[in-house]
Amino acid sequence: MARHILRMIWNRKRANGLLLLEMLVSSIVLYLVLAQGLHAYGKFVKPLGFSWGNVYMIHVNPGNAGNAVDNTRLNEALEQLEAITTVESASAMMPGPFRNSTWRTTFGREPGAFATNIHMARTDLAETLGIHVSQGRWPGEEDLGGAYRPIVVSEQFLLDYFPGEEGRAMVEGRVDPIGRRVDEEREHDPLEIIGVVPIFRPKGDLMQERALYFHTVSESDTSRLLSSILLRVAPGTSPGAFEEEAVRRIQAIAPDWSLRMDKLDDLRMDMLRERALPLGIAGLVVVFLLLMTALGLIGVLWQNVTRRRPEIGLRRALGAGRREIFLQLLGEIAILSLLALAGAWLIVLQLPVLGLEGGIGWNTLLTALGMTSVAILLLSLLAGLYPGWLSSRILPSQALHYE
Amino acid sequence: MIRNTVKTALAILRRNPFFTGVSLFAISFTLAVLMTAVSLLDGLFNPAGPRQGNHGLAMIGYAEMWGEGNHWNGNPGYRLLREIVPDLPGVSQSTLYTDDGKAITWQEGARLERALKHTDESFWQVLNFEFLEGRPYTAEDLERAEPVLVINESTRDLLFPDGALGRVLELDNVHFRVIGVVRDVSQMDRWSYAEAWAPLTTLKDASYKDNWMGSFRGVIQLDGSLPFEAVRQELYRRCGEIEIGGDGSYQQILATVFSSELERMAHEMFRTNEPGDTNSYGARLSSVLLGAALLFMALPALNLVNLNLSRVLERGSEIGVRRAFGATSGVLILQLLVENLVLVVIGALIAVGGHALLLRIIENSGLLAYIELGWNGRVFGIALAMVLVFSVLSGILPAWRISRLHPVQTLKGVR
Repeated sequence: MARHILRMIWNRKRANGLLLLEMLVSSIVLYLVLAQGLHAYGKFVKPLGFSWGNVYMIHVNPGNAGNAVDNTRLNEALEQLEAITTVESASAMMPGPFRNSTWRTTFGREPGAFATNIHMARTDLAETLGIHVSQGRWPGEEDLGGAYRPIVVSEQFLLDYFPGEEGRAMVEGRVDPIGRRVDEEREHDPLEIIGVVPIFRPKGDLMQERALYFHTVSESDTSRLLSSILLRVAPGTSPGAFEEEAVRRIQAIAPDWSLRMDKLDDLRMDMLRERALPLGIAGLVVVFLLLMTALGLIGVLWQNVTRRRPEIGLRRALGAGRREIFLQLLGEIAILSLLALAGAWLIVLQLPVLGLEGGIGWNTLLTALGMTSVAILLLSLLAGLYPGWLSSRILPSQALHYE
Repeated sequence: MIRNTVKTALAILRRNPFFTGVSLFAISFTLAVLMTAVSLLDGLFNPAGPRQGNHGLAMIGYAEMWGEGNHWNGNPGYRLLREIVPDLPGVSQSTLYTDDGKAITWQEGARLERALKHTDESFWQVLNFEFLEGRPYTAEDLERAEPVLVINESTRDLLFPDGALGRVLELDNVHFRVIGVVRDVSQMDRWSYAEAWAPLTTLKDASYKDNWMGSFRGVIQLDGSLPFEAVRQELYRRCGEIEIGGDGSYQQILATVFSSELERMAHEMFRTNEPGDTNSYGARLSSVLLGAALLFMALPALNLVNLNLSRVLERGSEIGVRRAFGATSGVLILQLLVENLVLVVIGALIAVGGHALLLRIIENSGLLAYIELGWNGRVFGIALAMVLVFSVLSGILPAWRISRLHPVQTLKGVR
């Protein structure tokens, strides 16, 4: 049957060629959007690694000077903020969550060296942000000031920094990462792992998990201003009076700072919206494109049926039933779409080889390809239903009278 | 002749409403999306508002400073702009101002944020803001660091519905007196956009004067006596002469200047990571955009080609008769192309409606503040070009195929 249909398709190769091309292009467009969508969804379902409800962030811009480090006033501000009754805990970090800045460093100078993100953090940050430490502990003030600076790393950091089996074993708890020194060539301020957090994604739900570590600093450290103040407030705190009170207290201490105050809730939603919007638009456009392709396909198949009346009539006259005619037509369209999909697979599977897959990974790629295949096959069969039904209605007597 | 062709085309379109409907859907959808993209890009490259119609402007918004192992890029600082911009030959006036930052104010206990730019007095001469009330601040206001403020229409309506002039607005703990109200400026124009503008000298921290890099922007107004390229070279020469000083980690500094927003954005997107790249990437960005538009048209065009092709036979006898009576294939191709054009033009008219709808949706989405999009000569011209390209793209192959049908075959109705 399939061979028979293939021959029929080949016989009408000129008309079918363009149809095939259209289905191929549709499949690839659908694949691209599905792959991006699945990739984003895979990130969306992972936890952020901190709790954003009832947390405010006050971002400090210390004026154009930028480099003047002013932690005395920051400490004073934190003290003043904690004195507000609705504030449960206050801390500071740099860069803060949901901000468009990243602090990135490489261990060693040679190209391809291990790169990681850094967040400077005070010792009470874990409490304020509700960060869960899975191994070891979050350092306290008493841990600071030794020969090694205690850092808290993410599991991704372990996987990337300790190559091969060792990193995996550390994540699974078979090897203890606590007390390990990292970046051992560093002369100044050497680092030692004191704790591990499972995951921390400060840029929100659609951020790829990155290797990062928390560089904990003491209250008396003056190397850099921790410009994001975080405040956990009691549930049900009404924003109005509290927000003004908090900002006024900081302004009384540092009138030259420019401040921004936001709820982490709002920042998270803004960031999610900003990153999901292009995907949403692309998805909508693709839905319309597919609808258009399907309608076009119905038109073309319909026309084909009218054109092939004599042929179909002859088959009917020679004893083929309605069912067989119907199935033949659907079979043709199915084989056509399978051919187009084979082309799409061939092209898409080249993408990782060419390094163009955009970091989405084989799993997502294959899932997206599978979904594309099912969708295109179903869509083309759906488009073939009405023309197929029409063809099965052709009466041999009418058809043979054609011309 | 043309009238007949159009009449034939309309008759054929009426003959099969399903085909016509599907074709029109494809055409209008494609063109509406493309037109919306064009409107957005046009709003970005040629924003309405203070910069509109002023073609002699050049913008300095990116600088980099580098030395052994160090590379710092971002907005230029006040000091750099002060060093290179004043007294440039071929420049009639110039302005320096900060990027807009959000400033906090309070209204009945609710936190409210306004985008605030700190500018010099010539800001109001270089950029043509439309003043609804009051006046801009002057050189004297700047000299005395007078806390005066110009606000936009929406801020006035929100905070001071019964008159803004002379009222006090607290922004970031500074009490400003409102002296002017201007029409809202779209956020798409980053060079003019803010909701409040204050004198540069009211910045709380005066250390900006010592910084090579920072958060400043500069706009210069060319007087036309020198070509832009000469002004640009002079600017780069001045950058080359700067002694940066400090701890010696930076030796060289360069601010780039562009006379069009398209070039500036192209540079932002495509510049190399190596310091000192002053190349123009305008052509590359244009071709990327053009390529994207063509690629987006490809699938709908292919769809239309398939639909058109499958109707070949339906028209076989008509074509056959015309061939038999001596019509050359050139004439037939022309007729079929015109027919397709009629279809595309009808689709384009529907698309104009869809385009207007999409623009309203974008304007009301609140994604960008005070955005105003619409038709103008440029958008219309580009849309027209797109209609023609789309129509030829989707019409040429079927037309050619049909014109090659043999009259005898077609008259007999054989495929």
